[in-house]
Amino acid sequence: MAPLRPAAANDSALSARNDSTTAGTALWREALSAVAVFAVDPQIGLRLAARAGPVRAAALETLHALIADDMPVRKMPAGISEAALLGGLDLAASLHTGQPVLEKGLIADTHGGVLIAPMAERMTQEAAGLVSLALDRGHLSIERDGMSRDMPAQIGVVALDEGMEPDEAPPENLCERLGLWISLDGADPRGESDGGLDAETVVSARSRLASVRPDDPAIETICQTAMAFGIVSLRAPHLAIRAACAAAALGGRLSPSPGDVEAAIRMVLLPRAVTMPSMPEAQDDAGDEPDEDDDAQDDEQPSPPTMPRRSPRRRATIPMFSRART
Amino acid sequence: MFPFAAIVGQDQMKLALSIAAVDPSIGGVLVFGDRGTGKSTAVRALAAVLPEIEMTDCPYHCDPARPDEGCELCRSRAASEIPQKTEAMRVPVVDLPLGATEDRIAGSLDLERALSAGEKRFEPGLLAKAHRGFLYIDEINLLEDHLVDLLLDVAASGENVVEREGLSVRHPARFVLIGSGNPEEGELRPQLLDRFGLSVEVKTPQDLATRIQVVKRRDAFERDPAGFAAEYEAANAEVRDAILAARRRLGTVAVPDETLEKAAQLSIRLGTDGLRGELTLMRAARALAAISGDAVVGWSHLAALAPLALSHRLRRDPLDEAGSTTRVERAVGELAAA
Ligand SMILES: [Zn+2]
Repeated sequence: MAPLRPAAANDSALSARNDSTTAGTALWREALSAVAVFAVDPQIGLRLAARAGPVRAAALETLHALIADDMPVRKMPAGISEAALLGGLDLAASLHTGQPVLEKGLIADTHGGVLIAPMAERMTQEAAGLVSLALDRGHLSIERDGMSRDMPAQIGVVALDEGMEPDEAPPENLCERLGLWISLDGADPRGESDGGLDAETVVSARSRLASVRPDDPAIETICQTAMAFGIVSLRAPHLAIRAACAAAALGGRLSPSPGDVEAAIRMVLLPRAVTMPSMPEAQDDAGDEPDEDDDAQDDEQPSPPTMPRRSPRRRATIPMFSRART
Repeated sequence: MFPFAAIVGQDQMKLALSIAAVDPSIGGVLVFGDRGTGKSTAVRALAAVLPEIEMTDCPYHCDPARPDEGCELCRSRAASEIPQKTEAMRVPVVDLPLGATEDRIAGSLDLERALSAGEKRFEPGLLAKAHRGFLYIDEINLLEDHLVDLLLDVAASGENVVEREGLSVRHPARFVLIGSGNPEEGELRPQLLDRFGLSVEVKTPQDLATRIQVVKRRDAFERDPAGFAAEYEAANAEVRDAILAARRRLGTVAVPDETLEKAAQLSIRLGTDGLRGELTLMRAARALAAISGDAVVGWSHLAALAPLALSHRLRRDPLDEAGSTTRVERAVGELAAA
């Protein structure tokens, strides 16, 4: 059975027959909602763990269908050079015009759109650092080839994580800045490929987004959960709040509902969890989890009952991801 | 820009930056630590609380009061007693973006002039821009070694020498180098560490209330940057006034012999190499006294700054598992008791 299926409301219905089709559909739905949240607010960022194949292709197709037609979508090859990312002197044009002419790099060229990085696990730390700079600041300062320019660079990044081993992951400085972490492992798009979402819903959600405001309980729940999960960085709760707001905008709400907050926790915080607070510390191989563990924790969100317990590790703090591959 | 006064906690980082703003001669600040702690936010926020300084109208905005430290143009003007045009400007904070090339850092041939007029002229680079201010490098551990070396050399000598593309130029470049980074992305070479005056280790706040406050402020800022900045304008102005007042007081702060002796004892106890640590500790303590409005540098100032001024200069002790900051704090405690 899918090890890290999010704690879906219909869990108990699934457990009896271990119906993998339904479980796969639930996983797919979860992935689609993350894609929709990303389409509403691309600057949240998306890390999509999946091998190249029809399932991933279907997810990317949905992404393309949901983002606006006028948004540039660019691909970032794994081995891209610094010069290609940042841009530089266009020698021919400069000689022709008698003025230094800057050839825009990939990052600035993606301004207002989405940058997709296949094989992101092979991206260099330096390239990730440059993309991170744009994510942090929304613009790029170019100091190259005798030129000094400042260019807008508001981008949404999709890192396609095809790593097979736990230590094969996209650079941490980039992952840290990508809010949504979704694995397509076990997801099954058959039956409902688009999840009933369309570009129009996303467009109207995007126009609503600026007026969506998180209330204090939403912020507090998210911060509390991040801390309980042992997540050190404060970027994670920050991105989770943005995700909750985007989810609210999709649902036509002006403030994230408890459901939106829970969805954000599942998509942003849970995959980063280092510790599982709702479960007592136990030996890894004990393997005797109680079947029903629903007394005190039920009203506490989120309690992922099928989360594998593992000792917190420094690098692979992504039980959802690494477990999916072992 | 996120207001400096709105930064929650991170007192050590704010202290180190304020000290560098009061006395730029402390020689650079290194900020290392957890991701997502707002290291770069704090450095960039500093720009808005720095006071204004007088500058000449030359390309290097030299100090009109110190023509001897000025560029060639300013020196020759002073020698022939040509009056300088001056104006006030904010102390510069120059960002050295990742991916910057050496020609733009050090300065190079003015491409536009070369292309349009065939004229060979020097176009000052980021080092010139940072003169009399701050030069900031985020992710300093990702910067290529030869560029780090260049920056440290110029920071130490206060002069930038360019010999390239048939140009031969030298100009003053005195700036406070600020580097930030994450130790998980690669350690900084140890021989570079002690070239920074102060080092600060930043940690994410551990208590929930503070964490919530940080996240709330960041969310409010992203929603309405201008409105948020306006809310903190008065508080920012207070920080700026305090820095300016401390700058004025700095020269009058007394450093008694017994304080000097204590600083020396601390360095000996910790086995830090050379005089640099001791000297930085004294300077930083004096700046802290000026900030606090104290007329005399005392033990409390030394104790507060010892971890910032000394912990990055310790040799690794194979018999001591404790972190360097802990070791400094321990030595401070022992000396206080002695
Ligand atoms: Zn000058």
